[in-house]
Amino acid sequence: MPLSFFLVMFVLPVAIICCAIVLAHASKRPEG
Amino acid sequence: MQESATVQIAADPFAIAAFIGYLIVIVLIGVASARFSSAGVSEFFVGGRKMHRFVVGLSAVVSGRSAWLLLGVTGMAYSIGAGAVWAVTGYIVAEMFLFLYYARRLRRFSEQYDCVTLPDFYAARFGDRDGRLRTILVIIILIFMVGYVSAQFVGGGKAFAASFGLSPTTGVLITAFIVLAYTIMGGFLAVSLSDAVQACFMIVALVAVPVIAILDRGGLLAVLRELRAFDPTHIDPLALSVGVIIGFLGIGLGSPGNPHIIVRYMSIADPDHLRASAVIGTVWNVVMSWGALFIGLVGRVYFPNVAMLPGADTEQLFPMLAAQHLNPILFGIVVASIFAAIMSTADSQLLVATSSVVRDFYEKLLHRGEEIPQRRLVLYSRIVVALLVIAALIVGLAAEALVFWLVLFAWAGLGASFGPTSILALYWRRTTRAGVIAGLLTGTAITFIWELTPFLSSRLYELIPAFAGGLLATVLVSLMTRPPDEVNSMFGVMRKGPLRP
Repeated sequence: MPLSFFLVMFVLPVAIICCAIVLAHASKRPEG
Repeated sequence: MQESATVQIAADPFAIAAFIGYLIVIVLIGVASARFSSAGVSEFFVGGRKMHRFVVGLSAVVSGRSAWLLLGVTGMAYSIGAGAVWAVTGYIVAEMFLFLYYARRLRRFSEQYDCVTLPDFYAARFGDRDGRLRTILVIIILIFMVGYVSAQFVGGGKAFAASFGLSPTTGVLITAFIVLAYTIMGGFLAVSLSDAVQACFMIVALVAVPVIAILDRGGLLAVLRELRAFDPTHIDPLALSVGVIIGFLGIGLGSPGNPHIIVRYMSIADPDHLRASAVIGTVWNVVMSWGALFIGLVGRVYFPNVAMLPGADTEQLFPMLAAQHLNPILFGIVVASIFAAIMSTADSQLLVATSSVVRDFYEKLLHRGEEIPQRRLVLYSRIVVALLVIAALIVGLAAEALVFWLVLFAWAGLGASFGPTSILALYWRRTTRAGVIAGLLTGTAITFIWELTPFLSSRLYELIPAFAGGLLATVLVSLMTRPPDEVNSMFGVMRKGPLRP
């Protein structure tokens, strides 16, 4: 399996979901 | 999609039963929501701001994904291979940030200033005594939304024709009637709840079809070997030019400007719940989109030549692959998922167009300052839903070419006008009313001019220059006009929530 295919088709979607979880957790406190 | 050469489920009673079961669930949701939605315009148009985080997460995501995802993205991945991934990545990332940041500010502001529609937000944020700003917003919404709804009906009609062997006109009428039935009864609550159900249909179909098709072909590695033998660039996501990749990623710029997506954020019960909606929505977006990509990739193995698809139409790939690999009940669900995608977008757009007529035009422009009973406004809203469905049907049936011409850049037009102006309204205190009007007009004008100039439209998706133009116009005109007064309290509300008495 080509590396670019593996990264984009498998790592990227997982990374996006992890990013959403981390940012959702980090934005727990009200802004300002 | 062509009627003559399509996959029909009419012959299979189990598939028909699964499909009819789906339609019954959707209509029942409309009936069950009718009482709640009759209380007032806030209930009818934003669900009384009582929506659950799960419903908002799913509804915001599937309202933005029409049949383009199920039929268009699958066909794109079939045609160009793994590079199609960039067409979905842009909007997924954009919507994740919208949920997490933009949406919370908008939701907090909406509650404090009783904003039910997006024009309400603009009018509250910038003041609009002469009604000019609201009028411009209503015109932009109606131009794009009626065409958008028409296109969904026409798409639904063709899908009905393809699946059941009915005439496309009958299919258009049935699609319109079903959307009308639950939207007119249940308003925003019915639309959001049905969106959540439809999101489940869509994700089941988009996961089941590629998984089964890949396993039937000997697993992922076997499929990749065949694809490499077919064309090595087909499994190289970086095989596209940088310009094409940027254009694909730029699709995401449309998300912050499409009112039928944004209004979902205003409906959540608690702004802090948007964090959970962000995770739910992102997971759904990712799984659905990557499912569509894998359908396109594995489809190329089963149908190496596009002539093997009905009418040589790549949009037939999804139903064709499903018909080959699924049992009749699952196939019925796949057909339902195509309608789910169409209806979940059409109903949301219909409600936004209705709100701009009843709330913005009738209540806030025509009868400004007058007290109109809420129940009367809900009655008018229901009448306008019916009238807009009729208008969309007339446009869809009489001027199909015009509909698709409008829809081609409706996402871009709305994204370029509402996108930059709403982001600046939420994040830049110096934004002025004149700046926003300039941004709205510039974004819309560039979209039209770019799309109508073949030399430009063939090189770059119009949304990117139009968004940049709208942003620039808003900033420049804002800087040239008098700074707005009393914005600090508004930004305090956006950051910390409504002021308590």
